[in-house]
Amino acid sequence: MAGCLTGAEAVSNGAGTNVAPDVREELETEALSYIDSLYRTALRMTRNPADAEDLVQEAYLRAFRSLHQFKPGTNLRAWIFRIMTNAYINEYRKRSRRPTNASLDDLEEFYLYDHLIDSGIQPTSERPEDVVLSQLTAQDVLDALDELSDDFREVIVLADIEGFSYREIAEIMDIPVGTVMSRLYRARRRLQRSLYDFAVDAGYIKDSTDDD
Amino acid sequence: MINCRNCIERLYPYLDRELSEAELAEVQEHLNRCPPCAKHFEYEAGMLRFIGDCGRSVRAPEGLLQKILAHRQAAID
Repeated sequence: MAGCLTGAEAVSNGAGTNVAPDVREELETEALSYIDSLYRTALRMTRNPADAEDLVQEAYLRAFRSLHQFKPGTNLRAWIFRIMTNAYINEYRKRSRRPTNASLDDLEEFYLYDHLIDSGIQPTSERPEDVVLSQLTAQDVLDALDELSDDFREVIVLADIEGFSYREIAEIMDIPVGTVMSRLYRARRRLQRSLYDFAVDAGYIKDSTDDD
Repeated sequence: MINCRNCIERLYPYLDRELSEAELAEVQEHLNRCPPCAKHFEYEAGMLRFIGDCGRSVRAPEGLLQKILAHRQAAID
C-alpha cells in the first residue's frame, strides 16, 4: 500500500503511449470525475480562484503525463490528490507564504463543546450551528479554515471535507500516520477556536474563556 | 473499562472510523454508560458534518473541465 503512490512525480518522456488506450480512457474518465473535489481543495490551498483553476489544470496534466506510473487497483483519487499537493508545494506555496500559526499550543485543549457548556448554552448534536453559530454561512466557515496554516488547512480539507482515511492522508501529504493524527487534532482545536471567537464577536455567545 | 479521559482521547479516531475493533468496543461501552461523553461525541460528530458540508458546497467552475480536456492531448503527446 505504501508504495502505490511512489513515482507519481517522475517526468515522463513521451511515455503516455505506454498505457493501453482503453485503460487510459477509463483512468482519465475516473480522474476527471474528481474535478469538484480537486477544485475545492485547490481553492482552500491557494485561497484564490484563478490560482486554484491553474493548480487543478496542472495536477491533471501531470497525472495524464505520468499515468503509466499509476498502479491499477490502487487508489486513483489519492494518487491525483498527491500529485496536486506536490504541485502546490513546488509551485504555489513559495509565492504566497503566510506566517504559520502552528506554534500556538495554548489552544491544544480547546473544545468548543466545553465552552458552550460554560456559556450556559446547551449544545445539541443535531445541528450545532443552529445553536451556536446560527448566523454563520458556509463562507464564514471557509474563511475561518483559510486562516489556518497550510498544514492544518490541508489535513482538515482531506479528512473532513474529502473524507480520506488517515493512511490516505499520510500518503497524500507524505507524512507519518501519527503526524496526521496529531496535526488533525490540533487543526480541529484551532478551527473550533476561530469559530468560537467569531460567535463571540458576533454576539451569539458570551465569552467564557476569561474564566478559565 | 476506560474512563472519560481515555474516551475523549479517542474522540477523533472514533469519529474518523480509525479505531481497532477492540478499541471501538471500549469506547462504545463507555459511551453507553456515560451520557456526558456521549453528548460531547455527538456534538463533535455534528460539527464535523457541518464543516464537511460547508466545504463540499464548492464546485468546480463551468469551463474548467473544457480547459483541461483542451490541454489533455498536448500533455500525453
